[in-house]
Amino acid sequence: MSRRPHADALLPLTPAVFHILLVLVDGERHGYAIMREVALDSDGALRLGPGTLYGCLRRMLAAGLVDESDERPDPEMDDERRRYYRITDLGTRVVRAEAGRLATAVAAAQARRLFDRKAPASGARR
Amino acid sequence: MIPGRERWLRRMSCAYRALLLFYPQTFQREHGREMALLFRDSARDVLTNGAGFDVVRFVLHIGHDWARSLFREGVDMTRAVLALRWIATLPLAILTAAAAQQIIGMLITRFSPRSILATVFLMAVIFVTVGIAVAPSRRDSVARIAIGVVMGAAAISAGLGALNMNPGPALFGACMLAGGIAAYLPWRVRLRSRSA
Repeated sequence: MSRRPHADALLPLTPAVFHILLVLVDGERHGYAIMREVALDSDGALRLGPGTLYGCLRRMLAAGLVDESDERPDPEMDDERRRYYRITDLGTRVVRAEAGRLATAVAAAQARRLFDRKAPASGARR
Repeated sequence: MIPGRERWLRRMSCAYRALLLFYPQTFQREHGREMALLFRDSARDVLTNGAGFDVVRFVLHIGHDWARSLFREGVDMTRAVLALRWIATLPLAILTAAAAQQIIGMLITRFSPRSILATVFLMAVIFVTVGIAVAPSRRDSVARIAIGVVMGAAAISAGLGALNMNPGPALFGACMLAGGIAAYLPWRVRLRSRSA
């Protein structure tokens, strides 16, 4: 009998891994599409280069968070050489758990009215 | 795309493919082609839609990404190689145990089941000690191999004794097998309770 790995054991995720999984929740994507959507989702704050993206994907493949898809959405419109990645069941559970963890942290920040406070002036002493 | 930009795209892609050669071989083989494709698409995007400053920013971003991921992949590869170090334990431990057996064989001139038992026990102890010293993080694997080796030797001894109708080695082998099972079961229970 195979044992289901516990999603919490893989938390916390790095921002890159979290955003990649978040993109793949919508369906399978190739590397360039992942990179563009991560930049869009994060308002340009997180820009993945090829090295970081494929390094993350390699580790995610090894951890079973994503796998490679054999299907091509539209072979006519797409480059045959591209590989597509899709999220696995474990990946979905992990990204859900991470989103929950972040939501709890944001709720705690809201409870302390962190977002209402004015940012301290630069150079001000503590 | 205008020809001048197309030429720049080709040059940049060529330079990036050269940078890819610095990554570890397995990573290059697995993802190199796709990374080159991704770079080409991104570079085309910047050259078509961006201004001069965007191109400089893109080049700096790619350089930073290359250096950071090169370091990360290098560290990961080193870790993977070190993790395999424990496999070297097996021949080293067998050699040490065999050397010990030779030394004991020279010291013991009279053959008896008791001396065989002492030799095998000592060999197993030396095997486990050397194994754990070389690979402390893999002590469970080392213990599993040691028990396997002892039980294999016992099974051979018992089998040969039974075939030759010799009760001495057969009894000795059977005792060793029983001892191996007795050693294996508590160890297995301990592993189960630890992983639960």
